[in-house]
Amino acid sequence: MNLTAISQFIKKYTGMILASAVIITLVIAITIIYQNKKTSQLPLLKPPQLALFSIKIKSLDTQNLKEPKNIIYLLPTYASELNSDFLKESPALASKLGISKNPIQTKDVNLGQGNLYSDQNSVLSVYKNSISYQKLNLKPQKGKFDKDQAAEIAKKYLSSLGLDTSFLNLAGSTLETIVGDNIVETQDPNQADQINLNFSYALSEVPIITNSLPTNASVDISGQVTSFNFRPLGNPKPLNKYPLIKYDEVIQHLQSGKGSVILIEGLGSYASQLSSIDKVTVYNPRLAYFIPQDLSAPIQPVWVFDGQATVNNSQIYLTLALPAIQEKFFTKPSTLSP
Amino acid sequence: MKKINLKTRPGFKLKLFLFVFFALSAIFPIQASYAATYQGTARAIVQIGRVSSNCPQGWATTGSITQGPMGHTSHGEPPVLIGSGELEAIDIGTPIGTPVYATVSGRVTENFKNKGSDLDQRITVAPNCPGLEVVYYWHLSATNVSVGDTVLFGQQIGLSGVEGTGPHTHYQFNKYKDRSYSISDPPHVPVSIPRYCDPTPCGITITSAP
Repeated sequence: MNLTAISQFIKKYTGMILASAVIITLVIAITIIYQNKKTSQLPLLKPPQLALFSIKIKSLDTQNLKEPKNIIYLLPTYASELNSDFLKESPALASKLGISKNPIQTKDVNLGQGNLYSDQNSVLSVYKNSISYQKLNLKPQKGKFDKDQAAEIAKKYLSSLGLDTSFLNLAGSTLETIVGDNIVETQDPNQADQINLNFSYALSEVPIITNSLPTNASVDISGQVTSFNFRPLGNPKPLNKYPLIKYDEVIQHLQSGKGSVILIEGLGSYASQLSSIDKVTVYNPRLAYFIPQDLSAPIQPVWVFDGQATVNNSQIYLTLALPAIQEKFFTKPSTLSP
Repeated sequence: MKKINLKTRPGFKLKLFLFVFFALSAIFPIQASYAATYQGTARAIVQIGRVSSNCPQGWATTGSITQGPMGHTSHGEPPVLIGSGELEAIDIGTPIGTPVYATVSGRVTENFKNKGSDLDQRITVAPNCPGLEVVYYWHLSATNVSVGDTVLFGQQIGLSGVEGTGPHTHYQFNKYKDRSYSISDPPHVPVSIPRYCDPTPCGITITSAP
């Protein structure tokens, strides 16, 4: 191709190339402006109330952290739509559980109106959106437990009480032993008197994490359900999608002490007494949906990390969480005027 | 001036014995009546007036004490955090739904469910009592106060619930910097509680609270 031909080509197509470049630039600009406008119109949220334990972590070891793959950085919040009103059904429920005494009426600051049933053998509390049941005077009886089999027993039992178990997926289990009138976790399968099953589920294929477990049940070796806590989430409805904090940024937040401890394992009932930990090694970063104690608040995505620490020569395991939605979408804490 | 040797005076030993006897008996009856004033309820403590109004006093609820501060059932359990195992806690066996009261004024710092159970809700109060960091009221089936609320001595904060295999309320002082805050002895509880009782030898029935 000689210079004349090149010159003719440029003359012929320059306008078209320039026009295409302008159009592409405009499309990109409009998209960015639209996205910004769209996100700037998103309603402000309250930051999730993550902290259950007031623990000061003096140093974090982040060397074992690896950036998770296939993270979606735009996720919806969810509204929990609870259509159930267990309070209305509480007399029938108490009857099915063999409790014939009249209830004590209660009003809980978090749970609202409730009915409290009890007799010599069992206790039942029923609130609008949650049920807790506990058999009393349990006697130790050791045995080997199959968690899947026990989960099926628990689900069947809950169904027999008229409770919707269709959303329940087994998320984990722990073995428990009865010591006097105390029920404690055990790692030794030979010491197990019952198995505690934790049920959960996922939203937008992101698993749920909570410091107030939605549903769990304990089953003894005879196949009897000895306790359960049932807290359905109904059919959570997706709300607005919010841009999330990127992995590198959340690591900075974690290192600057913005993480909250939401679960502790290894301290039994006394986890809330732990005031500080010298060093926590964190690993397994991931996104999860956090179920707040107050179900009227939206369910938000959060960044979650597992942690391991040594306290008084014993290993303990922690779960740390941080808000995943970008900070600009949160309401600022109100300031008091002097 | 003639010196009198007291030791050689007739009847001196008898008089000395009588003096010591009456002196000791003057002390011990005081202690006996002192102890006696603790029988009953918190009102006895108020009469003595040794407890700061900012520090715990009285019972959190009514019922029977089923485990002392070092009982083996659960209070001997916490070596990880407490180290010495001296847990300043008592269990009060009480029917489900019995009112639970604040034994000290302070600010509510925690209100949460243990393992998701509505029958085992737990309240922590940070009192204004010097050196005492927290007071726990555990295993409640209903709570009346939220985190951040100020509670006053005698205010009902919830209803008793259950944990483990029997209904009871767990009442505890902890994270104390000053070990004088013993939950097993007056003046912060109305009567002495056997530290190791668990449950039958406890033998203490509480008929009024706080």
